[in-house]
Amino acid sequence: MTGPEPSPVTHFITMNAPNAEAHFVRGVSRHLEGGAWRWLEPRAELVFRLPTTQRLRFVMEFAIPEVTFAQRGPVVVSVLVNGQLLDRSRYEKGGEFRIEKPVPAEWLRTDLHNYVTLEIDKPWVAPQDGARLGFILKSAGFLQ
Amino acid sequence: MPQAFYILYGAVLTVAAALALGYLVLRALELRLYREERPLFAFAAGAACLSQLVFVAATLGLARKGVFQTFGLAVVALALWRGWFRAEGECQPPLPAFWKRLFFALGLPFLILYFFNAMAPEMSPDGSTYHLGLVSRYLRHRGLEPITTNMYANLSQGIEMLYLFAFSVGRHSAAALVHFAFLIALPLSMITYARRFGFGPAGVLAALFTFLSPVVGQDGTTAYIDVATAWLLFTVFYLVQIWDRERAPRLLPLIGLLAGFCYAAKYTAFLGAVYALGFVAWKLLREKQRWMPSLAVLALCAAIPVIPWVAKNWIWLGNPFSPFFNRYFPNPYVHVSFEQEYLHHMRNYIGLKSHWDIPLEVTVRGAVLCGLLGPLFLLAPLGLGALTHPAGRRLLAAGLLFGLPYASNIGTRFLIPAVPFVSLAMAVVLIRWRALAAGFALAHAIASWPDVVNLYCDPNAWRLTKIPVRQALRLESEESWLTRKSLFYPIARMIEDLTPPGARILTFNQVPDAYTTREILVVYQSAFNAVLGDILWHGIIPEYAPQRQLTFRFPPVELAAVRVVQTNRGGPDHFSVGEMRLFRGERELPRHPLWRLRAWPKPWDVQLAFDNSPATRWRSWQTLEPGMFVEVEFHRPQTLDRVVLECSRDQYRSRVRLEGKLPSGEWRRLDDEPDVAELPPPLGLRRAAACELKRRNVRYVLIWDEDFGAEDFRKNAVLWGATFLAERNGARLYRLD
Repeated sequence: MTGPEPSPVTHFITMNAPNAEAHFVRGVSRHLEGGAWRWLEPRAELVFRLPTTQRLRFVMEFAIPEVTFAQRGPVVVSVLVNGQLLDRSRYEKGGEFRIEKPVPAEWLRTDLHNYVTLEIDKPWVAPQDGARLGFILKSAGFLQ
Repeated sequence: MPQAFYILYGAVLTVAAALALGYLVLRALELRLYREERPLFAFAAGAACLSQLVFVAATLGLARKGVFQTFGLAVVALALWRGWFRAEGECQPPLPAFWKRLFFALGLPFLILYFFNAMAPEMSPDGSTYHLGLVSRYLRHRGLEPITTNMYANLSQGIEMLYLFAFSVGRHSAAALVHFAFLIALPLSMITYARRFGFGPAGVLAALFTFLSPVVGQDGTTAYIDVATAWLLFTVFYLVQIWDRERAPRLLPLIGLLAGFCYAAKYTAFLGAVYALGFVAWKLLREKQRWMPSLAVLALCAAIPVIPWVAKNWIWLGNPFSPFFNRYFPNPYVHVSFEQEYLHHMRNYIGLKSHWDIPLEVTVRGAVLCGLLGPLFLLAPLGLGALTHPAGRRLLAAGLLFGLPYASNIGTRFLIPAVPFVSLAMAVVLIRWRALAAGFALAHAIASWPDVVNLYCDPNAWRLTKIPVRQALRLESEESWLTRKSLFYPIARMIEDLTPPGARILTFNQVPDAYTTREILVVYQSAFNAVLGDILWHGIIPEYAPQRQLTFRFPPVELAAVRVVQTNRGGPDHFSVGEMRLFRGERELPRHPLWRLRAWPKPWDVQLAFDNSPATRWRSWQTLEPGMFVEVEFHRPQTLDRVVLECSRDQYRSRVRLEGKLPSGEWRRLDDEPDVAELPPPLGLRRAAACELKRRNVRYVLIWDEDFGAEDFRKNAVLWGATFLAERNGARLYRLD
């Protein structure tokens, strides 16, 4: 009747979850904005634990503010899973986006952590404080 | 011997045994009846007795072909030897030749139509699923057994006991032929009743109206029970009218027995007993006579066929009237929510746009409400003219009473108990104009003949379509005909072929249980099955997954018990708890075998909130009510400062608070406003659901292409851990590996 102690690192995370920060390796803002999203740096890394590697899809909900395009123009967002390129897409205007893509089982592991790298090719420099930012992340992780 | 012989032998033996027993009852009561009435009342009384005896045999584990056959042959032989079948009594006043000829001319073609359809392989929806499915199961198990996974087994099954007798010898079609015998008895009883009370021609007319009605013919030629029930109700009415005229006290035991047998035949026919008791009490009270002894005899005799079914349910299911009244008799086997939804669906058939469509649906179209009475019954209001006739008023009152259950199920066949009374009322009015009355009978016959019905009814109407002579005589094999004609039979055979003996198959729709020996678990048919369905849907419906976390925080306190209480009211949400976790600091309290877990309602499933499975949950299975709770009582006081609930999102209206019981015994509110957080959708939920099904000994799932989740199963069989075995007529069978 004893359940396993739940690990704070899971397979999917929304940015406002209580255990969200346990998934941030680098490049993710510690400040939750609007109660739901966080800024990423041009290169950010997240960590996930998976109980299985079968038939998983990587799902990410994110946004690129329209205002950033005036400064940096069209951008390319890349997603790497454990160093393997899963997706690279070009975005010509701002808006909310969703990436959903099957992940080959051999890229993943259940015994070790899985790392997801999110990259944007051109940073946006915030006029207020000069911070170099990438895009806005709402949720990311692996679903079946 | 050819199969057709066994079918006829099984049916004839059943009817003959019933008749023999019935004649014995009539002789014992020394009733003065007309010669034409005796076989009818004997059949009714004998059916009640035989049904009781079969129940007793089935209870004792003696439901076997040899037992039934030996008993049947012995009782028939005894009856022949002692001359019980000999015609006795005065003859009724003769019928005018015109009406006699009309009756035979119009009735005979339908008699042939009905006979061959009854003898043809049985494939009616309810007949081949639960009526005969249960009969077949009883025969395999040599008797009754507690069945907690099919609520149809909880209904009274007085007629099915007769089917069991016939089925043991002649299988499915023998049972249907027994119902056919009731179908013949009904119009004959209407005629003898009318002759006795002086309006014989109207009786003939009414008998034709009823007998030729398409839904009566369709129902009465299958292993349904509606025509039998209608006849029993009519017989009770008939006997009560005789009692009213003759005041023979010896009639009362027979009336009581048959009134009770009405309940044994079908729950909704309990009104037979209400009518008999009410009528007798009313008459005696009005005449200031002693009413207690008469009512006592009636009630005692009525109790004989009622008690076995009530007792069976009370002992095995904890609810004497299962599957209804579960709120008053809480039990683990049928959910309150099922009862609410079932009654709602029975009052609102899918496809019925408005209740104003009912008159046309039940008389002409026949698809949505499953069957048509025939266009003649659009003229049923004519029957109100019978209010001027003394017998007409009684007929209309009885018809109204016996028609009341229609409000609870608007299917056409639920009108059948009222049809004989409405027919007689119409006939009493129409008979004043002989040519017109005969014209109506002729028009009704033409309009009810299958080839003509095809011209005006909905193509999907439930009806007879032809005279299947070759199939009835088994010149075409049962297997061949059923495979060609029945959508569901090949599915039952697929299950039989591809699953091992003892397999349990979870599905969302009925399967002809009568043609498979495997246990079919239809999701809506019991609480156990509903929980299985809930588990399965965890893998498909995101709102069912434990994705909402409620955290109650409070200063550390020593508690003897803790409970989470739901405080809101209303539907359609149910209260549910996927997992309840208790914390002291960062550490979750290990669950101890001596903890006492409680919940209300549905206390039997409380373990599901403490099993660490993301695919199960404790669920109230009724709409929100304040006071629903899940509780843990510790074996010794525990210090806690946090309680976490992992819940599904499909309970938007539920509101919860946490209460703790101090070691002193006082209950205290700990937190009214939990923190709410969203959890990610668990991975491997499909596989977890499949594992939970297997833990419950369910290794097969049958999914129709139009079922919710069918596509998910097709695409993600690997994630379910399921192997696709075969597909028949749009139903796919999977094995959970």
